[in-house]
Amino acid sequence: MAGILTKLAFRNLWRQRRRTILTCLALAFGIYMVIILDSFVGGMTEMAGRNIVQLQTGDVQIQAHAYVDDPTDRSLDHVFAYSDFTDDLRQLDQVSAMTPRLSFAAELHNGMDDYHVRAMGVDPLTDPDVFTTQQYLAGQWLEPGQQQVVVGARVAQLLDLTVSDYVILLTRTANNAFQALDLEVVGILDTPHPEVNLAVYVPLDMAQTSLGLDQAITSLHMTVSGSAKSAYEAISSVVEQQNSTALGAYTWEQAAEDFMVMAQSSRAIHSMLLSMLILIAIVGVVNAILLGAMERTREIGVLKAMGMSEREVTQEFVTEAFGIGFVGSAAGVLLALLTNWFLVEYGINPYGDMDLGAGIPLRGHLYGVWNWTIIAGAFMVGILASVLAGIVPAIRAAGKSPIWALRQ
Amino acid sequence: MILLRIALRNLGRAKTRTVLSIISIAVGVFVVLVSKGFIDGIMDQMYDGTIRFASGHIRIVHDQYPAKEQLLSLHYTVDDDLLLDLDEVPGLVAVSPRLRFGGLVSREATTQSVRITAIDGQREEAMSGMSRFLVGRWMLPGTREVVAGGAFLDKAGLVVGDRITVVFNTAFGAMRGITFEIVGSLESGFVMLDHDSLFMDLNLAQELLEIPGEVTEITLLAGQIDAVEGLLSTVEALVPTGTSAIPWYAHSEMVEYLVVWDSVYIFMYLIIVGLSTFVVINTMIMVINERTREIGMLSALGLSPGQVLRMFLWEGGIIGITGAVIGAIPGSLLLLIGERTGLELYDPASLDAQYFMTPKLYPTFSTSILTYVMILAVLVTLFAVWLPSRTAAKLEPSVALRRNG
Repeated sequence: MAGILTKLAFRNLWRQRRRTILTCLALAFGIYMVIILDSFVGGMTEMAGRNIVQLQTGDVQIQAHAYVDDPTDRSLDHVFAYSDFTDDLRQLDQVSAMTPRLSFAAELHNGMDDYHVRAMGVDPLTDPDVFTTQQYLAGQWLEPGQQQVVVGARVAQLLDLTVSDYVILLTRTANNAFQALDLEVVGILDTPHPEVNLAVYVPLDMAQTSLGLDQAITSLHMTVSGSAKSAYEAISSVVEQQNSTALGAYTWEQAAEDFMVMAQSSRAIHSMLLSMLILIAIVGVVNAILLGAMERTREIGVLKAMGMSEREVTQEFVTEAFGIGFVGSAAGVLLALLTNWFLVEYGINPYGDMDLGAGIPLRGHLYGVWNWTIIAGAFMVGILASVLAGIVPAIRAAGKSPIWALRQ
Repeated sequence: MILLRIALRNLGRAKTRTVLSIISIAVGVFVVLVSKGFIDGIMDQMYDGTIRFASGHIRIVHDQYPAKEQLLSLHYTVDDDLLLDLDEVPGLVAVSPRLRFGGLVSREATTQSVRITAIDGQREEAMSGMSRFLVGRWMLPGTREVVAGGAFLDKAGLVVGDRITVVFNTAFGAMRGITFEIVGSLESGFVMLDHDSLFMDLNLAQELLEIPGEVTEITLLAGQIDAVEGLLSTVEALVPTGTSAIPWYAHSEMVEYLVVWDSVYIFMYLIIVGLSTFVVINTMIMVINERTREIGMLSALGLSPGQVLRMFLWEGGIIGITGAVIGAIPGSLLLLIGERTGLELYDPASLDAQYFMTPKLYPTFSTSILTYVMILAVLVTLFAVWLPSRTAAKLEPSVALRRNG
């Protein structure tokens, strides 16, 4: 019997081709848009997050609480000597790479103009283990101990700098004495992270000597392997063992709180818009199925007159609704998978070469993400809504006497 | 009029069908209205905050100032004589000079840095309307009084009526410490205003900083945002060399970023409108198609295709208007309530001051959008009815009567 019902259901769907196709289309389009828009938003967040990790924070960083609490604090008041930590951290399996950085405020002079920049002392040898900065470099990378500087593209543009120019970096030492460094521009960095493009990089050891800091740094950045949470906890306990209450381990999400807040609020708005989209798509499908079932009350009468039981009639109608739900959802998901595959593999470049700036690390190619929860969820909701919409009128019609139904 | 009567009777006869059509239109109107309200709400809020408190529609600054702005430098100022010329420019609704500088507030063992904005109370009110956030009163001209951010006062354990000592450098680098009375506090929800801001009288600040007649910027507000482009050239002709007039959209990369976001939202909105339209059309097509036999009957009884079409258009019109009204009521209510209470998005303490966002999202309700959405809904419904009934009405009665359904 089940076989006949299924056959009947599919013949009915085929008989009403145009309606079936239109209903499926509404459902497919809704599902398609939900998946693709979600992929976009996810891609933007992930891209920005990846840029933050790869260019600014690493997976986990050790830093003074004071700097995280007040991101505008560029003083050297909270530096620390990291040699205390390195041995213990190296013991951890989770830490696969680490590199120190020393962030300080400075003025960069080109002889005519000057510009207030964030200067960063980096270890030329270990920095590439954690950060991908070098990928965006035109020119040479820094060498330890040299009077060299790599400048961000925005700074280079503002001060008309090119590789092999000489600049003066004016800053203050730990004792508040003025210090002017003569540096050669060896490279220019054009990264997708606007903050990096506004910064300048110098060799760490040279910066430490010039600032009178010995071995001190402002932050220690790590790449971790395996579970980020367990790695973070292991690193935290190392910091705690050192009894340094001023210092703490921060995951990149904690270190980039501003960005996370922005991401969170834009996600809230996107969810709102997506739920509106889902709502109208569901109304479309439910309507189509209800109308389809209603206009066939006569047909139900015929089926019952021919001896089909109420249950069988209901089953047949639900099978039809399931058919529409399945085909529509499957079509939507398949199309979305294809489009998303393209988005994930090749990406698109929605902003051109525009620098979005304002600390939002979004630039260049935008890639989609695979969010299987949404994809599976959209598929299930599509089928579920269709079947539910099919059940109600089918039960109602199936309960009526064949004579009444035939007279409709 | 007989057609209208038939139409009404038809609608009453097939109640479920009518209800389903109305639901699809109502939900369509609701969804489009609410999405637009939220999108406009967030964009307006971001633009509006930035324009009123930072960029103005046009901001006049020293050429070098934007680069030094973060430092709250006093070396790149603008002469406030310019105000008199700007007041003569037609189309500007506010011209507000601001003198911004940094300071330290010390109280017992702790010191905290503050951003101080010296303003001309009346002009600033026209610009930013800050009085709506004020608890207490504004400072009187020439007196040593300040208005402070509410969150800043809470953090420092101060209340309105207390005195604070502010330490700052004059334009010539001399350090001064002046004690002020706090006469008001600001509860705006904007992190930038509430957390580390002090406001004082412009003339007093110019005197204390030893730069009489100088301000760091003059912000201008146009009556209409569309008028900015036209005003820009007028204003540019007035400002002396070495000084720039910067329109709001070039104020910061943040604003440029918002403009991009705006287009993303518009795209999503268009998709929602598209899908809603599609759903309404699809529903109406189904409704009309199942009535092909009925159309055949009417034709056989002698109704011309034109009359059949008009009868269906009456039905569509009634359904469209009813659906639009039913969808508009909850949609408008939601937006109106949201406009008052706002929706909490995140913890206010966690946001950096550079974003002019309130931690709450306020959707906006606008009657022009409501009207537009409702008219659109009725037009779409009429189109959705016209499309299938035109074909059906042209069928030979014998053919139509033989159709299924």
